[in-house]
Amino acid sequence: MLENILNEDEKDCLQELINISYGTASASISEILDSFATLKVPRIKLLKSLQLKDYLINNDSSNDIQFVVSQIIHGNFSGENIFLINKDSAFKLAEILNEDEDVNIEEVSDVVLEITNILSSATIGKFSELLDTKVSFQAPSLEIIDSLEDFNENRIKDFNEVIIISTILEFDKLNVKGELILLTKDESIKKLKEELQKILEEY
Amino acid sequence: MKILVVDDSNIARKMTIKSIKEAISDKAEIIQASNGLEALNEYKSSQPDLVFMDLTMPVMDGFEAVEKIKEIDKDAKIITVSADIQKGAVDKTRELGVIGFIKKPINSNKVIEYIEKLGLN
Amino acid sequence: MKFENINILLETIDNGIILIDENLNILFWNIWLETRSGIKSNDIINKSILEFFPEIKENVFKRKIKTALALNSTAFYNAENTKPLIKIKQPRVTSKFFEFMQQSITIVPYDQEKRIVCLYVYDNTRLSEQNKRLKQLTEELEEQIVQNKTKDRLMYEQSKMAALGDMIHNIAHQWRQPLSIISTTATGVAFQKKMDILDDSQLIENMENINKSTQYLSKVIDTFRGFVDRNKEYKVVNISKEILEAIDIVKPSLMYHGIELIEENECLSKNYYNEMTCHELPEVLINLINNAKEALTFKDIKKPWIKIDIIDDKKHIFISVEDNAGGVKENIKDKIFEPYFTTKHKSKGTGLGLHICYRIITESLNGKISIENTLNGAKFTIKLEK
Repeated sequence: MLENILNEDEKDCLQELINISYGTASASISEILDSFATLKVPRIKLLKSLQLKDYLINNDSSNDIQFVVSQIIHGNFSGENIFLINKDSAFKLAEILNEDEDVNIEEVSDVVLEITNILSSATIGKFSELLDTKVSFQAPSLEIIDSLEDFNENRIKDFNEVIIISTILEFDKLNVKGELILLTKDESIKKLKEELQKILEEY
Repeated sequence: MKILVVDDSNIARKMTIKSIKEAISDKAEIIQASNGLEALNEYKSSQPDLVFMDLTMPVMDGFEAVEKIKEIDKDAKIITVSADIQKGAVDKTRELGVIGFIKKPINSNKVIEYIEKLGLN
Repeated sequence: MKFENINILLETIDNGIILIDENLNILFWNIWLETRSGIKSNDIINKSILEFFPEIKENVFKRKIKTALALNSTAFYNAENTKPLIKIKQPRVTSKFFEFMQQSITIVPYDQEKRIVCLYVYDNTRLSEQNKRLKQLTEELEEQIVQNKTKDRLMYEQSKMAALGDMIHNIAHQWRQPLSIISTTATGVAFQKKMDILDDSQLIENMENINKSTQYLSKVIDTFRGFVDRNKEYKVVNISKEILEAIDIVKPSLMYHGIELIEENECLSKNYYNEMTCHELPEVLINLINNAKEALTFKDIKKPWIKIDIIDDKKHIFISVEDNAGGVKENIKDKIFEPYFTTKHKSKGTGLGLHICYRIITESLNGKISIENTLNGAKFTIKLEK
């Protein structure tokens, strides 16, 4: 349980920092993309990595083809960002951003990768700033799967317990929706705990 | 001087209070509330000179709280403090009649700015 | 330690380095790029990159630069996209897939105030080619697998048909005589009655004969039902009994062709037990015996025989079927278990029989089957683990 890993104060602190990071990120994203995009209030959950697939399937009713982007975060705070968007939303997104009604799958892939990078840098960039720690991002990579049933669980087998910070990226009035999931694993959770304690001690 | 600090997060309240203290040291009495409803009650009972209001809270959120407080005191001085800095949020609060908007994480310089502007020191 | 010749790093690094501002004007273009693009640094400095590379999507590029500066973080161009940012023709004639250099590009902020970023260009053509080759191979393999699966299914269907055909043949063969008896007897009785020479005891005897024949007809059907039902239970079976089941079915045919069935060492009266799926072994035996029978009749062997033997050496059980049809040519021996391999005329066989035997023995019964030539002919040996 999250309760066993982080105590009440630490949880509260984490939630506040995440709210601030993701709130700031929303603004940056809108600026970069020239469009009105919102990031929903992020929810924090602790799960065993094996439960991740079920969690994803429960959250998304569509059996649609999914673009799954993964971006690894290195540094004192380390983990992986996963961005999930279904085919329809991905294509619409690419059409808007490339100002082109006729996009092919390579262009859509490029856009989805780019969005993930922007989201990662904006959210985690700010988050690491608040924690006063440095992070760097690897180039994101994309996998297209037929449905969430095919989500490869092997990719996250290195994670034992994961803190999931999930938020939904929505483009106003455009019915474009994607989910951003931050996974962080065991050792990183420990380091996070230490950083949170440091901040709590200041107040 | 009485200042009301409203936020559902303990640490956020502490951060705001710390910035206030850095700005005006101990010259003010700080009252706390953890949601909009509590804020409304505290306002009625303590009548603070200044309110720092967070926007995203359970039970009653910041927008509604501002509205309700303005109903009982149209001259209430409220500054919104929020992580949510989307243009829509800022505009909405302006419509409700807040006197300022501070982006989280709050820093004491901003607090000083507003306090001087309001002539509260 | 002071780094005075740090420019050497810029000149010798195996990457392209570009300094560019948010309006896409180039402020630095290193030697790596000069040599590969053929564009001299002096010619491109302070000009827009679009003048030299007009296919670049302006809005996308500007957005990435904005990202890097606004978030003070790295932006990327997808390495797997086959359309490179900087179009550089590949000088290598041996490059199979790509006309242009495949690139991986990272964009990092360089000067926030002046709105300048740095682009690193990596040549990953070789990697992309390997990937492409791998992808091709995987696709070919997947196609093969699908094809094989289809072939497999087809073969299975064909073998089922063939087996059914064989069964029906055998049933027909075994029914011929009894039916003939019934017909003759009935006609005879009718004639005798017409002639008024039929007496009661004759009538009863003839009816009993007819009954015996129908019972035999029935028994033949029952024997076959054991196979057709495909009740593939896995249990301890008596191997000799299983073999006897097979012999029961083929015996009439063998007798018809005058082929003697020899049981070596009275093996069929002894008990050999092993755990296996029911009815698989008889199927194989029937096939082997039929093969032998065909070889013997085709070659018109005088005094043809088929010998069956069972040997138990505590670790394995060996079952052999030998004939005196003269043996199999050397060059055929290794191919004999292959599917669709047959020396018979098209109308006489599908060539699946021995292959199916091979599959059943190796996959279902976990054993081995082999063929060797003996003094007299061919000998098939089945080896099963105990």
